[in-house]
Amino acid sequence: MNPGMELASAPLGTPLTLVGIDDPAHRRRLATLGLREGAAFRCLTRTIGGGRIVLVGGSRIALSRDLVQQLRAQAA
Amino acid sequence: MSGPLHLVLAEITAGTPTLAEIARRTGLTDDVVHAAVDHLVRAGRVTSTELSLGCPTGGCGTCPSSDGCSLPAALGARRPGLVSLSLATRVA
Amino acid sequence: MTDSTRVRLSLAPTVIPPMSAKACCHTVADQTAGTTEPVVALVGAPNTGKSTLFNGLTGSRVTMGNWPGTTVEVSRGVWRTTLESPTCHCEDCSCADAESPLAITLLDLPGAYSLDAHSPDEQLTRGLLQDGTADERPDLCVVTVDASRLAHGLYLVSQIRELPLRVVVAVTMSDVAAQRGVSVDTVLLSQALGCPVVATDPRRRTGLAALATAVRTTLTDPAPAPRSVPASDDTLVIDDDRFTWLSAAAAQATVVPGHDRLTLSDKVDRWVTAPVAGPLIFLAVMWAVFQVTTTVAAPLQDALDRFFSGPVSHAVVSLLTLAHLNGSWVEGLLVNGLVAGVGMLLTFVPLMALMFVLLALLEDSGYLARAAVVTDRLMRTMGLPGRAFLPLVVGFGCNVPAISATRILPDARQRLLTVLLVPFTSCSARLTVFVMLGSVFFGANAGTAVFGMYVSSVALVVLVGLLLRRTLWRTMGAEPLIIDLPAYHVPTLRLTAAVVWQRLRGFLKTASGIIVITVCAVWVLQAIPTTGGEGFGHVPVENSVYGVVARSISPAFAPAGFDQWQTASALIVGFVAKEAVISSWAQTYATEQPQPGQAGLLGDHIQAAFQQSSGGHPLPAVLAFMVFLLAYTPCVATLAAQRREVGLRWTLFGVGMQLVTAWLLAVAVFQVGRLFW
Repeated sequence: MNPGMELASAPLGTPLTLVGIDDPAHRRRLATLGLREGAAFRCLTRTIGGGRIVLVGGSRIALSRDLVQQLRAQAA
Repeated sequence: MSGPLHLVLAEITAGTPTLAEIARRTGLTDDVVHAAVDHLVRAGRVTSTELSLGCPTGGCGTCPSSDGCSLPAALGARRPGLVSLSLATRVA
Repeated sequence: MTDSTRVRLSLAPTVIPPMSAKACCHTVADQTAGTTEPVVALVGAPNTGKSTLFNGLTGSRVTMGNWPGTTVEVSRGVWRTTLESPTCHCEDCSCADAESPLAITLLDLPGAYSLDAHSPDEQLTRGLLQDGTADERPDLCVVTVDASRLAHGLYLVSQIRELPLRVVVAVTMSDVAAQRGVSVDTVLLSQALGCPVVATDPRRRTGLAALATAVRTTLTDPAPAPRSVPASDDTLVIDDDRFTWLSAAAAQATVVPGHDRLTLSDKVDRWVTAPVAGPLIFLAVMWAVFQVTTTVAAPLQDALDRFFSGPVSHAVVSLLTLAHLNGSWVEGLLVNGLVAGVGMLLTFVPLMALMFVLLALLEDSGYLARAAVVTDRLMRTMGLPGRAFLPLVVGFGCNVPAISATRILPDARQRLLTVLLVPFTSCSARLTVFVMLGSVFFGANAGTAVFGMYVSSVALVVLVGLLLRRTLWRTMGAEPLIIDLPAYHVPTLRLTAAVVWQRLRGFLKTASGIIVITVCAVWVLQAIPTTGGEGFGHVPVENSVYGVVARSISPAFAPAGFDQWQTASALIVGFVAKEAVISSWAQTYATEQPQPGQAGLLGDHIQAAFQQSSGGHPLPAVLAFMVFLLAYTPCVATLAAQRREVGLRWTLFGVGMQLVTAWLLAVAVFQVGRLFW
């Protein structure tokens, strides 16, 4: 199983698939946003402090750096 | 009973802070959540008050949280930005 | 159009004969002799394009009238439809091949969200559709539903589908929905609802022919089987059953684009939330807000001030002279108390209005969500979630609702911390004092000076937040930020204007009470003599109760450069309500003057006062004063709100902390500042 790359190093704009969430505590919270394993999304921009704005399921969601570090994705 | 109205009412009771988050937690679409909240307000189950910026400074004297400025949702289709929803005290 | 019998007759349904091979495939009206046209009721929620549709279908053939026995207006019109029909094979038919006309009576019922009859409009709709006999009901209902708010409009459909009525749904506003990337599949929706669905655009007049076809076809069918209603005493259960049904229908029929597209909003966001550009843009936006507010509002305030201290005061004096009351304490109370106070209140109005408008525009446009992202990092150094940004921003308008807004924070310690930080946000009442002092002492740089106060306010919030977190709540964690960003859009002017007007009205209503009472109370305290031999209302201010109290406090401000008792007294009043600071300040000087109308020279008085108290360094002293005003205690109303949220002990702790912080900062500003200026 492809462990994928850290979201922090994923390129902007390219379609991605979420393959893993490290911290189980955040897994549920992210799932309610539509960010669950296998979900398709894209990174739009970097924000101050190392966060990201991602586009998933029609919604734009800003994530902070600690969350971004938890996520692993691979190119879709 | 787990229809949209009950789901949304449960979320409001639990204090879920935004409609977007209610939509995510319940799995309902934004459209249905808005309609459900509207319906609950009309039915008197939920009261809606606006928590917006620039509240009158002089309103300090008698500007308690719940009775600040409730703008009727019927004013155009646009909803105000920050709205506080709370369960209405209801005589059964 | 008020003859009830005629109305009744016109509602009688046409007799629709059973279809048989021999029946003419052309219109029903041709066959039934002596009966009237079919009656179709047009219903739907407000703002769904119903009236536009009605006008589009009936043209100018409309009559208006009251529904009998009610005050509700109903329009009736004639909808002339033509239908392309195949060649008729009837034996005794004489109609033309190409088209078969049918005139339908169309009733435009008032907008109704549901049949629950909460308003006269809804009662009428319910009465026509639900109560009453089969003879009285219309032959068919056309329900308009807004495609961009499908769930909202489908509720009425769900209720009508519980009745034995023919229904056709007309979906409107598809263009608005398309802009949001939502499109409604009418075929799928029709399957889910159990009735025909037609997409129409009444403004562009498309879909009207298709609607005519659907209506005429449905008229020839029997009424569809109604939906069953669950048996329950609880209305919520019944309503929810409808919601479940319509939610499923909407989900089936709504098509969201397969892949998400980049919009202009995203391109803008790239800059607005960027690491360096984001905060700079944020500061620039806030600076622009304050600059506009001060430059535009200042001359208006000036003019109002002159008006009240000039013509109005003189008019009152003239009236009092007629009543032989001039020179008495009544004149003092009225002119130097009420008129001065109320006048000051009204000079705030341009400032408040402008501030409210700008903040509301920022909020409405969607920018504030991005600002929350930008400030999130700052928030989290204080251990607060990004969401704490919201109450703090509200605090810049007024501290009282900001205290209540802390309820959106789930954690009690985070709430407490935010409640203690809110008073450090510079509310709009403080702004009035800053603006006044800015224009008196800083002239053209007034806007920048005021902006500087706001930057200081933010810095204070962050620093105190850090301090409290490190000392009191070391173990408090911070949740990661997740914020849903709405798309940017042009703020609705009408909504903004309505919001601003509501705020202003509320401000005027309640502020007038506070200010008038405070001004009168201050006047009374100034009128009570403390030394013998002076009459009530004729004592020089410094010898009154008020003056004595102020003079005993003012030495505390000597190290900060503003130990004039009049200045100190302004701060005392500010504890009650910051809006009253300027009024009472003016009052303390006004009552020294025998003639009214000298309050307009407040600026001069203050300049002289600061010059003297600071020993020749007025600017640092003014800055020190402004810093003190920024940080000391909030008004009594805010304290009451704090007490309600976090209890008396923490509120008192907050007051103590603020007084100490304010004093230390003011002294520091003056002592350091006077080395330079």
